[in-house]
Amino acid sequence: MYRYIFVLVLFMLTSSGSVKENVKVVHFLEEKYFESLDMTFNKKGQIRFFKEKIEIRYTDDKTVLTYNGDVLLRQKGSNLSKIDLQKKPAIKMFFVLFEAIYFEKKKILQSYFSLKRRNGITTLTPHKNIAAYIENVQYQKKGTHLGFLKINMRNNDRILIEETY
Amino acid sequence: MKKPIKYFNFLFFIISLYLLVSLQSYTHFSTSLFSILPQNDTKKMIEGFQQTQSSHTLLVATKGLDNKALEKIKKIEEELDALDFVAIKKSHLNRDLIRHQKEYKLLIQEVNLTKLSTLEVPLELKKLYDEMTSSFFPVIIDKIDPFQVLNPPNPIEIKTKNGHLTLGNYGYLSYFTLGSQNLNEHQKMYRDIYKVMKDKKEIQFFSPLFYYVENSQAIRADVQTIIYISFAILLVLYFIILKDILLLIHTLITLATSTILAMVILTQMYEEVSIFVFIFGISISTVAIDYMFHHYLHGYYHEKKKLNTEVFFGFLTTFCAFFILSFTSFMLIKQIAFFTMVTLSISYLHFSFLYPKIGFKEFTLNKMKDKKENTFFCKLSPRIFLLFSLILIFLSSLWIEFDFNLKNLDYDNKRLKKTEHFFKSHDTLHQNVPFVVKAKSIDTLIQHSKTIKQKVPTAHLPLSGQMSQVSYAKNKEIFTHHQSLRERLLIESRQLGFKEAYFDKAYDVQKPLIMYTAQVIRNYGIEVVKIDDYYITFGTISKKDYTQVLQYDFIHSLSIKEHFEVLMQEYVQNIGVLGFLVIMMILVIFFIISGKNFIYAMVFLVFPISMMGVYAFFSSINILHLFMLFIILAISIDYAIYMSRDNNERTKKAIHFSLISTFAGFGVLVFSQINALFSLGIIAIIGIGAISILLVCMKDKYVS
Repeated sequence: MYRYIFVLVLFMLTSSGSVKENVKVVHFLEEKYFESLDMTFNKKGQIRFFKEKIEIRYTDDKTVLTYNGDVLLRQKGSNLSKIDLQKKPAIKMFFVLFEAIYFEKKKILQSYFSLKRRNGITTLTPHKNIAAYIENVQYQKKGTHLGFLKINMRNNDRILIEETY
Repeated sequence: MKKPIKYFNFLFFIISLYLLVSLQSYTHFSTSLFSILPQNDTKKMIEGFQQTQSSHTLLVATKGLDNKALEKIKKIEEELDALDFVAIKKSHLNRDLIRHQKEYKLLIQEVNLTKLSTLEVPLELKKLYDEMTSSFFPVIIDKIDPFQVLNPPNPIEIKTKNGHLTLGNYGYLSYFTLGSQNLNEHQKMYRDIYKVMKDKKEIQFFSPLFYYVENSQAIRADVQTIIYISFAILLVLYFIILKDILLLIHTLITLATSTILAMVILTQMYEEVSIFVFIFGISISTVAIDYMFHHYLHGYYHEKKKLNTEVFFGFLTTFCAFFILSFTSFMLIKQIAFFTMVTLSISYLHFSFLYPKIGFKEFTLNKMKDKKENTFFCKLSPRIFLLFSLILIFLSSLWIEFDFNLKNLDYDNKRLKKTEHFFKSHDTLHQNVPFVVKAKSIDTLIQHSKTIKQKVPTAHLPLSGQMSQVSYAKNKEIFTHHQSLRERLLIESRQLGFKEAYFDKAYDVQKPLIMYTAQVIRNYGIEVVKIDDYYITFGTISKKDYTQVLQYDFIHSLSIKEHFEVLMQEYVQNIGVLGFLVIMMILVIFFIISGKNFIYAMVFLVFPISMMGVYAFFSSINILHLFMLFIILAISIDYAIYMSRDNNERTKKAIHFSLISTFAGFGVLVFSQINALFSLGIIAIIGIGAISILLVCMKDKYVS
């Protein structure tokens, strides 16, 4: 279940894109390394921020993920699945975490991570409740633009996100 | 006043005071309802639960789910976290426990046999590979159970917003662990928390520990008030009646000595004595003073006389009544009975044997206005009273209801109950009911916990996530039987591109059985308590599933009401039987003394009972009502004895004084906020009122 959250967090962290009316669209490039396969995969995608929801989609995939605070919707063609986030607090926690980073809510971020900033790069060390999955998180923001975001997982998987434009 | 014996009363008082201080008897008095519960397994289990973290929790809620409310609760968290005995509860997770549960999950968790038997390794592996390479999200592979054939444990539904816990839709919620271990520490913790919350009126906060502090404070304040009122009333009353300062001082000293010695003796018998016993002891001293009134008014302190047999039999009846009632298993009544036997005995010995030696001025009738026989009231025959009483008793049987809820005897802390209800009403999680799992060994305890978890998957039972001998053997057999699963996984995964040895730990059950000790379990953050030769652990469950699990004989309720309701029914029956014996004893003593007139004696028994029957129309009857009724009957028969033996003006005066004094002594209990004391007081008032009616309105014996 965490995987859904991770990507959402990562993608949303890249949110410094253009604002059209009430929608903010962020384009990103993603690089994922899987230790189990010893392989790296690259993808492109975009995150759309609406007033009441967040939408995520990849360039070469028709699946759309929508987060509205209480549920996470996953739609592929006519197939729609729903995850009740009240029953999946861990997933919801990651969305909250993203919002904390994106809107610079330090208090919330400090609930889950210890923060260190050096040479413009922020390192987040997770508290023990999420430390079982995440080794650490690093990101660099230039204004509202996300330079990079790197998540090192406990199982040695790695995710690198870069905002493309 | 020159003989040394004249100072014996003071000497006894000093000795009793010395014993009280040196033995620190006053420290054994408890305001807790627990002190009146029998020391059985149930009490031990509830006490065990009260020592756990679940009971030592503080809940704090701010209204609203906006940023302002979030900042507010964060600030409160910081302030409270800085206090002694208060620590914010950040996570329920224990790293060692998670590591252990992960490593041994194949031998701990329940296996989905349907999935296991229909599973196709190449297909599942392909699905896994596709998910990793094409999914939106990084896939976290479970190296031990990559195909998820184990049923995952049900997580607790925790509601959050902006990364913070919420209390339903009300606002943000914070949990704190309270580390205070005794009443003094609880009080400090309570004061500190209230200091922080002083100016934050809109914040809701609650801890079960607050009941200890607030109830204790309320009971102590209540007891203090009753003592002051009682002392003031009795002092004025005795002064008006006796008009002899020296006798008044001696009497007060005797009553104090008897009460102190009763305290000393009782606290040597019991580690914990209810403070209600002490209050009752003060009230019962107003009965003890009867012995002085009768001796004094009949000139026993002025001239040398033989033993006053009426007083002796009066004392003997009351003493025997308490002696019989002391055989009850209800601790409060047992303690009261012992306390009373000691106070009455000491008072009787003083008033009967010491006071005549000391010698006091003669009480003369002309000190009072000699009243003629009261002709205002029409005196009725005892037969009419008897008939009237029996009809009332029969009628009251139609409406009488018993209250077996032990909690109804305690102080009713309405304010705190309201706050507790506030938290429960806003979140279903707080509505869950706690329960106890009991077993002779840790392994059986784990297996019992697993049985419950299997029956009600939503039950929160931390110990169910451990390995038992049964789960170990069962899962080992399953995976050994499906050994091909592991073999195929190792081969096929390599062919598909997974790293060599990546799934080496998958479905490998070649691990030894772990026999946990209680300490190991505790180190995992799971509550296990050893009581005598068995272990208990705790869980919570929704109200609708609660009755389902209670059907197992290893599951026990933590509700005082539920547990002691059955026990209270037994106690009430027990008191009924003992009360019947008291009545029999009273009748026997009455017949020994007065010989005849059965009806006259019976009226003194049935009329107070019928009056309580009337009271039962307005209120349900509890065990203390019944207890007090039998006490009243024992006192009532004293008056019947006095009247039947020596029915002169002095006897009537002595009885009137006794009634007024007893009425004042027990009457003040109706001002109590504590139902236990109120119950005693109301029955005392009704009973003494009934006796007064008999003395005023009933024709004297032999006149019927």
